[in-house]
Amino acid sequence: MIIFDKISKFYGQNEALKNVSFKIRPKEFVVIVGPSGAGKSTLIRLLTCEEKPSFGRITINGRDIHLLKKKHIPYYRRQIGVVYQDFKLLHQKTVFENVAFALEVSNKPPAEIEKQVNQVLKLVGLEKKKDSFPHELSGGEVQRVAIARALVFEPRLLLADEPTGNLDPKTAWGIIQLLIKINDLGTTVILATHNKDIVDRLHKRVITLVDGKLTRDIRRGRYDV
Amino acid sequence: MIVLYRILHSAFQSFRRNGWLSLVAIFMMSQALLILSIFFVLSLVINSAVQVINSKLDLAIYFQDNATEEEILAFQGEIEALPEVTRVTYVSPKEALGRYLEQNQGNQQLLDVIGGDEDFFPASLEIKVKDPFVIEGLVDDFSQGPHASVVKSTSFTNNQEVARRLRAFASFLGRGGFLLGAIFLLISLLIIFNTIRIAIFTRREEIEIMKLVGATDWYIRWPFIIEGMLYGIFATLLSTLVIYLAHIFFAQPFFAKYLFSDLGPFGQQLLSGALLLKIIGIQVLVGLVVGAVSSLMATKRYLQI
Repeated sequence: MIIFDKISKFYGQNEALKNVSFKIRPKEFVVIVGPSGAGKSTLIRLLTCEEKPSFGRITINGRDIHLLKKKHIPYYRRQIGVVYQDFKLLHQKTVFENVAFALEVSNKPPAEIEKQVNQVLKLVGLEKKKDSFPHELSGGEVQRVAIARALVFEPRLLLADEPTGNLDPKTAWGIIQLLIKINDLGTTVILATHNKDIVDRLHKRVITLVDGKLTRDIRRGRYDV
Repeated sequence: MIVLYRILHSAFQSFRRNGWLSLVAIFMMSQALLILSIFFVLSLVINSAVQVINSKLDLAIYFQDNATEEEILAFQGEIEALPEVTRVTYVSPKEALGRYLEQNQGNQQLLDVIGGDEDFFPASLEIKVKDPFVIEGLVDDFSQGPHASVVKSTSFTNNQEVARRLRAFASFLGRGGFLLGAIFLLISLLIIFNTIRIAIFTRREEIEIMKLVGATDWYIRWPFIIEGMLYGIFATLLSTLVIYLAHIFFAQPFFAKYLFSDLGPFGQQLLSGALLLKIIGIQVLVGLVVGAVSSLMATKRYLQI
């Protein structure tokens, strides 16, 4: 259970989130919508501990994640998967190495890494491209690599910040279907997007942010800002 | 063990895959190391030049013809007892003549001037001093002391102006060399540090990504530190090659002939392999330490995520 409890976030004078509260149950698929600058990315960055809230607290299974010590943050991050609009892959590493890297930092033996990486690359449909470098792939493929990396820890929470922002509609829907599949396998998914088509087609819970305020939270919602 | 392997593997891999960046960093660093080495050699030359100048600034006392050998030898004993004097040699008129004849063997005119007169040259004491700056004081002591009556003249009164200038030049070289050394060292360090800072700046996104997938700070840092050290090692190889070539094609044929013949044993040392080894050692040390420390400092700000 993830609980946002009266969260506010200031960047200088600018208030990116204003007193936002909501709960997310395990295995839910939640879409966060809103125009650019509404606070969607800030919300994701609070969950990855890249930012701290100015007021309020975020708890996951009862623990305030912003009370974590600095040296424990890497271990916390290994429990959540994150997918970004700009993919954030290491350019000089191959597909396999990019995904394996996430496991290597956690000290796993090579045989296990090999097995897990191959498994997750199969899940996203990239087992044939594992020796390619990111610049040799299409946008959709690159995003699949990023998703594979996010999934390789078998996280119980997957955050996706505009994962389809740089993709054409058809490829984008492929990525969304992948997220649905991951959610069906038991992972909580939080998807931040401003893509109306995708939101309307998804028929999932929709939380709407406008100017940092939570304006709507509907169980089977549509994009309606 | 597996962590160590991964860190080393990652360091070598990105060193290879960031080929151009590594190459540029190595070139910049080897330039800095070259500056440092050239200065190191220069300071050795300056130091030895100062030593040579100082050792040539000796004092000689010439005696009146009526001074007896016993008197001179007694005087020698007194001078030897002075703390600022390292050695005193008695040169009798006969020995002085012998030296003169030897030096001017081919020149009959100069030999004719003397015409075999055994007492043509005065007896003298050649005094080596620890520090050329004490010569003036010694001269004053001698010309006022109990033996003043037998002293005819001193080399100092003859060459006073030359000696003063040489002394000033030597001390200027000594001080200037130190200042120059400090400046060169600073320049080299700044070049190396900035090169590595730029190299890491271009890869700040990589650091950010590593942080976001849950790598600890040290796991991210170590490969960069090792890469910095690799730059240092390759830069040392490069600058050593340049120095070695300069040594063979420039220093040996030219310096040996014209410059170092005056520097005595030091000249030999400068041309020997021992010095080259010393220079390589300094470069490796500077390259490794500065490479590592620069990487450590440069990654710091990008790890604050």
